[in-house]
Parts: sequence; C-alpha cells; structure tokens
Amino acid sequence: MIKVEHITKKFVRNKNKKEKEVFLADNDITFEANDGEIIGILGPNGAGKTTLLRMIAGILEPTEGKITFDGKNYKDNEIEIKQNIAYLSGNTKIYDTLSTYELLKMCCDIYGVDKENSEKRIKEITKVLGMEQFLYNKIANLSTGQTQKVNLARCLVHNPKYYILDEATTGLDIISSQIILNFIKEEREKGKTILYSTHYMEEAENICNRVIMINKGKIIKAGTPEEIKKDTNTTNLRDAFFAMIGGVSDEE
Amino acid sequence: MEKVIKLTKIFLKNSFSNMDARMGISTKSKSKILIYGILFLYFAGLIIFLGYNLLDGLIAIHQETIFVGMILFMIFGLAIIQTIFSSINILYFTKDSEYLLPLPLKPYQIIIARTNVMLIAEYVIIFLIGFIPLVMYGILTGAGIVYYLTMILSVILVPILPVLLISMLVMFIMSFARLTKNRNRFQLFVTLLVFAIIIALSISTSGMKQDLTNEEMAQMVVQANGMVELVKGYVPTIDYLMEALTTNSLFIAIVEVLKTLGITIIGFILYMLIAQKIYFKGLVGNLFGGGTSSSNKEINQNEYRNSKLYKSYVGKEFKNMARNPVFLLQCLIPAILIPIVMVVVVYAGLNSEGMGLEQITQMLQQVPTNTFLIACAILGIIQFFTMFIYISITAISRDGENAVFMKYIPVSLYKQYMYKIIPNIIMNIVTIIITLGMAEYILHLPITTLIALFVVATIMGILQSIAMIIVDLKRPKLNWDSEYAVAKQNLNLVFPMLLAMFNIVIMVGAVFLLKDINVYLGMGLLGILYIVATVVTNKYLYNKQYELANKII
Amino acid sequence: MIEIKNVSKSYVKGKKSVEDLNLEIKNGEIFGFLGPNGAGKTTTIRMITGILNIDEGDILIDGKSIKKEPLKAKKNFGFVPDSPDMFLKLKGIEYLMFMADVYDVPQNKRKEKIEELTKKFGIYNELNNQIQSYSHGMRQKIVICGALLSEPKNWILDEPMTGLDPKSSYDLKEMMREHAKSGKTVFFSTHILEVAEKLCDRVGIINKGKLVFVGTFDEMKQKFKENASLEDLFLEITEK
Repeated sequence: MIKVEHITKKFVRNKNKKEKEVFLADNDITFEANDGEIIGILGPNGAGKTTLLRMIAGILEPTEGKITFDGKNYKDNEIEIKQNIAYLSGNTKIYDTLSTYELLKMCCDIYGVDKENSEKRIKEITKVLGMEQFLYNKIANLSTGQTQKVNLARCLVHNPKYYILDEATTGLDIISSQIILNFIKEEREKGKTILYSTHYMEEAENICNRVIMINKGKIIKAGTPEEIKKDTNTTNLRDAFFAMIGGVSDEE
Repeated sequence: MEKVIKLTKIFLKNSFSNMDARMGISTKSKSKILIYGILFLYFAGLIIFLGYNLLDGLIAIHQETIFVGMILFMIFGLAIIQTIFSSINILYFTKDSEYLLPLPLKPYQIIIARTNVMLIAEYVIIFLIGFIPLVMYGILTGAGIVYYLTMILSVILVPILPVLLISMLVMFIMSFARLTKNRNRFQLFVTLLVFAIIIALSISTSGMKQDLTNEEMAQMVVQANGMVELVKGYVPTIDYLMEALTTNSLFIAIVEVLKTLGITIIGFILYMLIAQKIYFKGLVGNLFGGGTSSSNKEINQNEYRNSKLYKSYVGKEFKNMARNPVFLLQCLIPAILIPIVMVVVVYAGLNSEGMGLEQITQMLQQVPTNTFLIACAILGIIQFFTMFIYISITAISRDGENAVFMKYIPVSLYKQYMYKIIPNIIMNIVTIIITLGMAEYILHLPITTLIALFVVATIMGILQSIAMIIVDLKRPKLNWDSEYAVAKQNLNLVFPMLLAMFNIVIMVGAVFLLKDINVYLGMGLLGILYIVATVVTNKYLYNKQYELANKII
Repeated sequence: MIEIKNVSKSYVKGKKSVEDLNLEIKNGEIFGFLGPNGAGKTTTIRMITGILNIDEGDILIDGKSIKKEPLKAKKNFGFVPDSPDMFLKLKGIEYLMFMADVYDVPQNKRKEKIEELTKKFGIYNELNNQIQSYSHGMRQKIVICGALLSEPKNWILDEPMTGLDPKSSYDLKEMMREHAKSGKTVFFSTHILEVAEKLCDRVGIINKGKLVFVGTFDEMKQKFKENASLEDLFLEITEK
C-alpha cells in the first residue's frame, strides 16, 4: 500500500528581475493506493502529475507531507523502498549502445538479483512482453514500441511490488500498448500496487480501479470511473474530464 | 563496491561506444583498431619526438629534473582542463540520471562511478603525455626500478586531485546555479571565467622574469620552471612527487609517495563528504527545476516586425550558437580569443627574453617588411588561426535531428547553406581583422598591402566556409545527445586543419616559386587562384545541393 | 489537395518500405493515416514533405510536384514533425517570427495570427521563454503554432496528439475540423483509433509498406467484422 499524505511541492521561480514567485507544482495531495489496485492519475499538461510521481519514486523531495510504502518512508528506508519500486517515465532511450539483454543484465546487477534468478527472470519478462526477436539487438536500433517494452522490462527485473508508471503508453500503437496494459492488469491480479498516469481517458477507464484527477496541483476529483461519471453526469471519462477542467486554459 | 564497479563499467561502455558512433567510426572492429592505432602512433611519435628534443637539451645543461616537474605539471594542468569540459556533462547532463535516481543505489555509489569515468578518461590521455615521456626520462637518465615504480604511482595519483577539485567546484556552482535566473548564461559565465583564469595564469608565468643565462634552452627552462614553481606552492603533491622521482634514496621516494597518497586520500574523503551533500541537490534541481523564469509575459511589439529571411536565418544561427555554452566556446569564441592569446603569448615570450617590443620594431624596420614573403607568412598565420573556427564544419550537425527542418521548408537548400556559412565568414573576417591589426602594430605595413591581405584572406575564408559545409553535409552527425559530441568528439573537425595545412603548403610553394615578386602582383596571383577555387567549390555545392542533403533524414 | 501516385521507397535494396502507394486526399477532407509503429507511416510523410527522395512515382500538393517544383510544393503545406524538440535555444516568439519570415507571412497578419493561435493553446504567456524550458506538450503546441502561422492550405501532421492533454488535443481537433470545413485539407498520422473514428472523413491503413485499406470509418467496420471492438478491428486488418 502506498500512502500519500498532504504532499506539497514548492518551486521558486523568478517572476521578473526583482520579484520571486512561489509556484506550487503540487498542493496538499492526499490519497492511498491499496495492494491489487491500479490508480489512474489524470490531468492536463503541467497539472503536476509528473512531479507527484517523481516524489513518490523518490527522485524529488516533497516540500511538505509524507509518503509511506507499507508504513516505511524514504528517510529511514530509502534503499529498501527503492529495491521494491518500478518507475517508468516517458519513452526515451538510455544506454542505447547496449543490447536489450545487456541492459537487463545490468539492471539485475544493480538490484542485486543473483545470477541464477536473473537469467530466469530475464527469460520470463522477455516472453511476457514479447521481446524475443530483439533481445540481442542494440537498443539504438529499436522502434518506439520496442524501446518502450525494454523500458518497462528494465524496471521489472527485481520483481517490484510498487509500480509508478508515468505515461507508459504514450506514442505506442494499439498492439504494443495492449501488451503493456495486459501486463499491468496481470500484475494487479498478483496484488501489486500500481500508479498509472495517462492522457488516454479510454485507457484509464479501461484499466483503473480508481482515478485521481489533478488540475493546477490540486486533486479536483477522486473515485472509481463509475462514480466520477455519475457525479458529472457523463457517459465516459473524457467528457467527465472536460466537465471538470472546463474551458480553463491549463498553462496559467 | 561491487555495484560501483558495475556502474562504472556501464557508464564507460556507454560513453566510449557513443564516442565511436559520433566520430563516425563504424562498428567493424578491424578498421576501428586501425584508426585508433594510427591516431595513437601518430601522437605517440609526436610526443616522443618533442620530448626527446627537449630532454636532450635539458640534459646538456644539467637541468633534466625540470623535465619531470614539467610533465607532472602538464598532467595536472591537462586534468584540470579536461575535467572542466567533461565534468558538467558527465555529472549533470547525461540522460541516464533520471533513470538512476529511483534505483536502489546509495548516493556515494553513483558519485564514485561518475568520478571514475572522468578519471579513466584522464588516464587514457595521460598515458600519452605523461607515461611515455617519463619512461623516456627513465631511459635517458638510466634510472633504476625505484624510479619506474614511483613513476607509475605518480602518473596514477597526480590527476586524481585536479579531477576532484574541479568536480567539486562544478558541484558548488551547479547547486547554486539552480537558483539563478538564467542557468545557461550562468554556466557559460563560469566556463569563460575558468578559461580566463587559465589564460591569465599562463601569461603571468610566461612573463615572469628569472635570472637569465646565456644557454640556448635558458628561456624555455625559465618559463617552464616558473610555471612549475608557481604551481608547486599550491599543489604540494607535485612537489613531493618531483622529489620522489628525482631522488636516489628509496626511503625518500617512499616517504614522498606516501605523503602524496595521504593528501589524495584526504582530498577524496573531503570530496565524498561534500559531494554527498550537494551533488544530488544540484542534479535534481537542474533536471526538474520547476520551470525557468517567466520574466516578461507581455510581448514587445517590436518582436512582431518583419525581417528579411536571410537576416532572420543568420540571426537564428547566431542565437543558437551564442546561447549554447559548448557551441559558443567551440564556434564563436576561438575566432577572437585564439589570435589574441597567441600573439600575447609570443609577445610575452619575446619580452621575457629581454627584447621589448621597441627593439623588435626597430629590428624589423631595418629589413623590408612589405614583401611577398612576409605577406605569405601573415596569410599562413591567419590560416593557422582560422582553422579553429568550427562554425561551418558543424553547420548541419549542430541542428541534430532537427536538421530535417531544412528539407521541408520552402527555401532552397543552397540558400540555406549560404545562410549557415555566413556566420563562419563573419567570424573569419573578425579573426583576419584582429590578426592584421596586430601585424600592422608590429610591422607597420602600408595600407594597400593590408587591404590586399584582407581581400585574399577573406576569399580563403569563404573557400573554407563552403568547403567545410560540404564536408559536414557528406558526413553529418545528427544523432547526438549532448552538444559536446558535435563540437568536440567529432572526427570532422580535422578537416579545417587539413585545409589550413594545405593552404600553408601552397603559401610556402608560392614563396619558393615566385620569390621576389612584387607583393601586390603576388597577392593578385594568389587571389585569382583562390577565387577560382572558391567559384569551383561553390559551383559544386550549388549543383549538388539536393544530393548532398541525402544524409539528412 | 494531396495526390500520391504510385509511390515506392526502399532504404535497403530489394526491401520496400513503402510499396506502390496511391492516395488522394481531397480538399475539405480530414484524412487519418493509421498503422502500427514501423509500418511506413513516417516514411510516407517524409516523402510527402520532401525530406526523403521518392524512388518511384510522384506526389503532388495542390498540383505542384514535390519532386519537380519542391519550393512551390513546400509553400503549399504546413508540417508538424513527430518530435517537437526543435529550436530549443530560441524563445517561443523568436521561433514563431522565424517561421513567419520563412513562410513570408505579411506584417499586418503576424500579431493577430500569433496571438490567436498561442492563446488558443494557452502558451501565449510563455512566448518570452526559451523553448527549452517548455514541457513536451507545450513544445508540441508551439511547433503546431509555427506550422499553422502561414495559414497553409494543406496541413500535414505526424502524430500530432502524442503528449497533448485531452483539452489541447480537443482544441487541435476542433481546429482541424474548421480547417477542413473551409475547403482545405488535413492529413495526419495517428495510431489512436478513437481519434480517427471521431475526426476523420476517411482513413487509410498502412501495414508493412502497403496500403491495406482506404475508406470511411464505417466502411472499414462493415468490411471487417461488424461491431468488433476497435482494437480487434485494427489487429485483424494489420495482421493479414
């Protein structure tokens, strides 16, 4: 279970030459993600989703508030928590001179997976995500869809308990995203805790147990897709999104 | 520790194989080894040749111990300069940082691995400029086993401190830079500042007057010694190691090496303590700094003004270079800095030999300066300066994957090539004017000669600009992840040098063939030669404009 | 109007990335170009825009051949490439003015057009900042603004919705609709079927370099299984 309590992230930026402006990327965010649950994090560009997920992944430190993983926090158990999370953001290529296999092997090393298990695990993941064809190709030569599979795979070698996935299917075609979504659903069945941000409302409606809508750093709505649709009197999440965000410009 | 080694391995593998790709070396290992081998032999040969001459001279005047100091000093200085360039990139701008942060790694593991990468890159170069000359010293002075062991330890130890020092400095600056209004400008400012300090340091040491001897090598010894002496005060390790390398006593050697080791270890501990405190803050701040300044939301009405396409395009090229620290340093600054620095260094060198500028001018006034020989020499010097202008040779590569933009806008490719080389021509002219100004100051040439020189040099500059963009079009590097790859680790950068060498050969040939020809006539002939070459090259670019763009995808 | 006539392209000899492609996108039409990653979508778009040479066949944009009269043809379209990471060192406004100079946008129209577009996308307030400081979505938006500044008759957009939030992608879709309504052409590639279903007058599906279907969305549904879910439909078409 991931528990996020009153998280706030402040950035100070210069408004003009003299004045400084405090900018709240996230403002008093509280929610819980239970085991065996996929929580969708939705909201317009610049709403604070990515910053929130980065704080949960332990990359950024929140200005205020508390994040706990089954009762453990970053301050006292940083390595232990990081040993159990999978964090995926965007779909950039890293270490693209390595082959997929080499990259996975390296991840096993970093996560301290022993030799025997790592071979087994890599085989398993390769099969689930359908990466057999390009396992030994250089990452630089892979297509977008393949790269994203590799990116997902590299977060999985240690059999994590918590998934933090930031726009995992952006830029992918239906076939590739289907494989990834199916995988996530299977992991849920195994009792994993999954945070999932996306722009595709249909996708969120499809896989999320509950969704959290964020705008301008604040939670504006939380609940199951059904509840949200009911509350906003709409038939799908996309319309619900517009009902709540309205015509407000999102970059202000 | 195991994780540190694994991380280091990955970082190294990544950065070295990236370099191959960037330098245009194919993955075929045979040709790769061949190219590296030739490069290595070439440099090693050069270093052996230079080192031997110097050492031979020093032994003749029984000053050979200075050689050891000089080499250690060179290792130290080179480590500093290299780290200035590489540390910001390795520590802050590698793409994998966001990926590493959520991994179960302790901060110190990442820091050590990153530092290792910088150090190992150092050692590769230090092997050439440090190890080889010191072995030579050992052979020529008939040193024993103790010397070689001490030497190996020295070569390993010396670069560590400067790497740590500069990295720490960079970390301080970066943890601070995140608060400043404009990150880019700040980074640039710091880089320039460090450069200025290095240049000032080298000028001040070269100008230092010491007791003069009549020996041939005296002036060099004085300069070199001056530099070493100056540094020794601040860097005790060089002092200790010099002592260790030149002593005959095993005991002293051991003590001095241990002292150095001690200082290095203390330095490392300090470094780790400080780095763990400030590195990640700065890194995170720079990675996701929560949006930069939104200084002025209202748009100045002037911004909406029309301008001619050539102005707007050339302006875009200049902005792109000026706002990019690496491009600025590699493309724009050298045009101004190199001629000034070279002349100042030469001037300071002459000065310290007891010859003032006045004497030189006086001396020069006794020989005719307005000759074809002198004119060709000046043109040769200009060639030497302008070969460091990398604007045209990186014109296409600088745009990276965005270079395809050229192909879908409704502007002819030839025109765009021209717009892209205009900055190169302008910077060439800047270099030419500075150099001619200095030539005028020393030689007092008639204005007509200056004009003739200016015209010929400018034509040569235009030729360089056109020829280099053709090279970049033929071998563009469009897949890069940091500007560094284009402006430094790019094999194409040898082409301006080759062209300059070729031009210098032509100058020498012209002097041999035409000898005492009237300077204006000679310049005229050279001018015609280069106009023809420029027109032919330009014709080629024009006719092949579409084919040449084929590599831009 | 965009006419693609018998176009083929191969990167490696003997292996065609695009094979004998024929398409006509009429005025007043929104045409969606679908296909899985790596099917030849990007190659096709690169040929239409003159980035890649065409091996065989020809492409006409409002009657001008991209092969024979490239400059005239290029004047006739605005292009949004799939990666918006361009001109990062320029400020938003500098980029837009540069584009205006490139496409000869008359002086009196610039201010009005820039304000209209950037306000619509909510990036007006960011125009004085370097593009480097923009988020992915904002970069996408500024590139779209730059391409639309000259009011080109034909819009060619490569995966324009990627990374846009629902609000911005809604705005963009509305703009596409308006553009088509005024008798002009929109050609865009996507892999999101829902977008294609709601927006496009016609769609073309490309797989392994060949056009496997052209027609309206309803025709596509009829031709293949009735009432099948979109995903199944897509899988069925592309896996043949």
